[in-house]
Order: sequence, then C-alpha cells, then structure tokens
Amino acid sequence: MALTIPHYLTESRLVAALQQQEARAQRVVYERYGSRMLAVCMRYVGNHDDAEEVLIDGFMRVYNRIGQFRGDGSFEGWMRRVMVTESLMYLRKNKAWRQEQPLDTITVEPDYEWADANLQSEDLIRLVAQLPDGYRTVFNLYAIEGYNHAEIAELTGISEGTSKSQLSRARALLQQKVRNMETGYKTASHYGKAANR
Amino acid sequence: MEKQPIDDLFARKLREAELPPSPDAFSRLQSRMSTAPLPVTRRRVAIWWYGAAVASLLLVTLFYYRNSLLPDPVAKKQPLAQIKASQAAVPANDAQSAPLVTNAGKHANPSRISTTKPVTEAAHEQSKPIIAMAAKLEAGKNEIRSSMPYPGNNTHEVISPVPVSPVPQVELAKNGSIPSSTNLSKPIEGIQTSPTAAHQSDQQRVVVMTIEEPKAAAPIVALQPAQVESTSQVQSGSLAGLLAKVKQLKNGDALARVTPAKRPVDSRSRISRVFEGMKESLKNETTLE
Repeated sequence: MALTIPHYLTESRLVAALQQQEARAQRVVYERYGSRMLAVCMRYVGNHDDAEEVLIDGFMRVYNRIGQFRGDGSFEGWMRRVMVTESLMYLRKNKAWRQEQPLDTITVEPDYEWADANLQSEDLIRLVAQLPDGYRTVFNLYAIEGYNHAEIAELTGISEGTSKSQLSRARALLQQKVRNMETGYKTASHYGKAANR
Repeated sequence: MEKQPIDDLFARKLREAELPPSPDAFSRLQSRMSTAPLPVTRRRVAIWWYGAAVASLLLVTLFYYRNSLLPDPVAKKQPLAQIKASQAAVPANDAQSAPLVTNAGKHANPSRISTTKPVTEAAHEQSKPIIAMAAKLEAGKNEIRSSMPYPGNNTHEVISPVPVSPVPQVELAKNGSIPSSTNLSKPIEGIQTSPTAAHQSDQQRVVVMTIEEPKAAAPIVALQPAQVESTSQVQSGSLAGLLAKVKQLKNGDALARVTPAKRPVDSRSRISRVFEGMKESLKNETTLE
C-alpha cells in the first residue's frame, strides 16, 4: 500500500512538500514512518490502542509544526522526538506513574548473547510494555533515546534521583524477565531434546 | 551512571523496531485533521484577513454614510466655474429689475435656499444686483417718507402669508421715489388683511408679507454669516402709502440689505426672517425720526 512518488524520494523535498501542506506528502510521510513511530509510542504507552491514538496526535503535530523543523538533524529524528513528547504528554495526562511501589532488585544477569540471538524486537517491546509506567518511561528515555538524568528530570518533571532509582528498578525487572524467557526457552529446548531421544 | 548490557540489548533491538498501525489509522488521522483547529500561524493569517475585510467594510460604510449626510449634493458636484458660467448667462438688468414676487413664482427653488450650504464665490457675485438695488432704495428713502403721511389711523393690520398676485407695474423715478401721477388708491389683489388684538395700542402699521425669495436672492440667503432682510419701508398710516410700498416691492424696489448676522440664521423660517427684517427696518426708521 506504500505510495511510490518519485517527487518525494529525497527527504528535503518531502519536508518542503509538507511545509506546503500537501496532502500527498502527508500521506507519504505516514506510510514511510508510521510503523517506526508506532513502535516508539508503544514503548512508552505500553498499550497498542493507546499507542495508536498517540501516533495520530503525533502526526498531527508533525504536520502542523513542520515549520519548526530547521533541518539541523534528520527528519526522522525530529519526528521521533515529537512522538516521544506526545507520549509523555499522554502519560502525564492519563497515568499517575510517579507514585509507584518499588520492586525487589534482581541481581541475576541474563545471558545477553543468547538474548541477542533469540529475542526479536516484538518480544522486547512486549517486555518493556509490561514495566510500570514510570520505569518504562525512564528506561526508554535513558537507554534508547539517549537522554541523561537531568534531561529526563526536565522532561518528566521528576527529580534526577527519582530518575536514577527508577532506571535501576527498570533494568532489574527487564533482566528478570529476560532471564525468565531464557530459562523457559532453555527448559523447553532441553525437554524437547529429551523427548526426541 | 553508565550504560549496562541490558541497555545495549534493548537499544540495539528497539531503535529500528516497527509495528504496523491498523488499516483505519490514517483515515482517523485525516478525519481528526479536518475537525482540528488551524495551527497558530495559519490562524493568525486568517485573523488578519478577517480584520482587514471588516475594516474595509467599515470604511466603505462610513464613506457612504458621510456622503448621505451632505445637505446639497448638487452644489457639491457643481464646479465653481460652472456656477459662474450660469450666472454670466443671466443679464444684470434682469436681476436688478425683476420683481421679487414674480420671480418667486417662476424660479424659486426651496432646495437651493439652504442655510447650511457653504458660501461660494458665486454667491457673492450673485448678490451684487441686490446690494445695488438696496442702495438705490436707500437713496430714495427720504423721498418716500415725505410723500406718505404718518401716522394715519390706529389700525394694526397683519397681512396673512398668502401668495401675492401680480399687480400693475409702477414706474419709479430715477432716485427711487414714486411719481405723483401714480394712482395708489387702487387695492391690491391677493393681499388679505386681518385685524389683530394689538389694534388700539399700536399706531404703526406692520405689514408682513410672504415673499418667496427670487433666484437671485438665494445665494444671499445662503451667505453665512450675513443674511438678507427684505424690508418694506411702509410706515405710513394710510392705505395709499401701504399700497404704494407694496407696489414698490412688486416692482423690485424692495430693500434687500445685507447685514451682519445678529441672530442664528437657521433657526427661523423665511417668513419669520422677512418679518424680522421689516420689523427692524421700521424700528430704525422710528429711531431716525
């Protein structure tokens, strides 16, 4: 269903067309970046339906604020920041994610080589989505987007200390989940081999 | 706090992750865009356009409203040169000798006699014959006074303001006096007299006439601070003297005098202006005697 319009092959031409509020360019941008931007929203929101609502709001913001894009970085990076901002606004409006109970820290580290080889991006998105909202937000901003704790504190309105503690707990939870998946996978494969014998 | 292996695992796998949206997501996006308010920049542009349109409409409305308030659009549109040309077409002798009463019946146009009309140079030019006529009458004033006895009887008659029909012409001498051969005992048609309550107390005879201002006098009426007072010089108690003066008025030998404004012009009608003028003239005559 993707449109193939040679006029918009380059990113600069696409942006120029967006600035002229061309409907075809808006459609092309949605087709080209929609799936990637939905994955971004899903990582923050944790629910597919809500993530899609955030995606729509984010695209509307992209179309309306395209004049603010100066071309300093990539257009996709600017869109990603717009989506992250929109997701944070959604969480701030709909979730009380700052008051969450602390979880027990897991010290057992998973086998990262096994995880890198066997876990797909959809599995990891599902694991992140299972995190509490505050943990998930701080982990996404720090580990994937690359913000530091000062920037996270400014973006989310929490203190740097809270950001650090939530990041530690998010990491521990994800390690536990990856470890559980690894254990289950290895157990299943062990019993499968035994049955084959 | 440094990056840990768990961070790298998720960053590497999720940075380029994709999740396909539902098929109707773009249609929802389009429908939401059609109902969403305009962005700030476009909204500002729209506000400016609406503001400019409203301002233009107001200006046009004010322009037409102001034009509709003008008292005499014909005078405004008529250039000064055109006015002069139309005056030049009228012979000077006609303006001087034309009787006030007969001119009024033919040419008087009330719409042109407007006290709020701006004074033009043409008005001054047009007033010259009347001023000359007034000077002529002033010169013969003493002659008139001596030819009419004063006071006559004790009646005080007020002539009702009805149109005066034409009366026989009276030939005047060069100095403005009435020749002795003229028969002044003949009554004038069209002038109705009625007694008032002030008969017994006043020995003067006051004649109030409705004289429609002739075409030549219209600019004088419009002349702003000056005003025209058409005054009869009747101070005689005799009917013969009164009739003589009426005939004088008929023949254009009326006193049309331009005096400085002593009262607001636009507060009176033409009838009251004539009455005031005549009253003032009689008062001046009494003072002189």
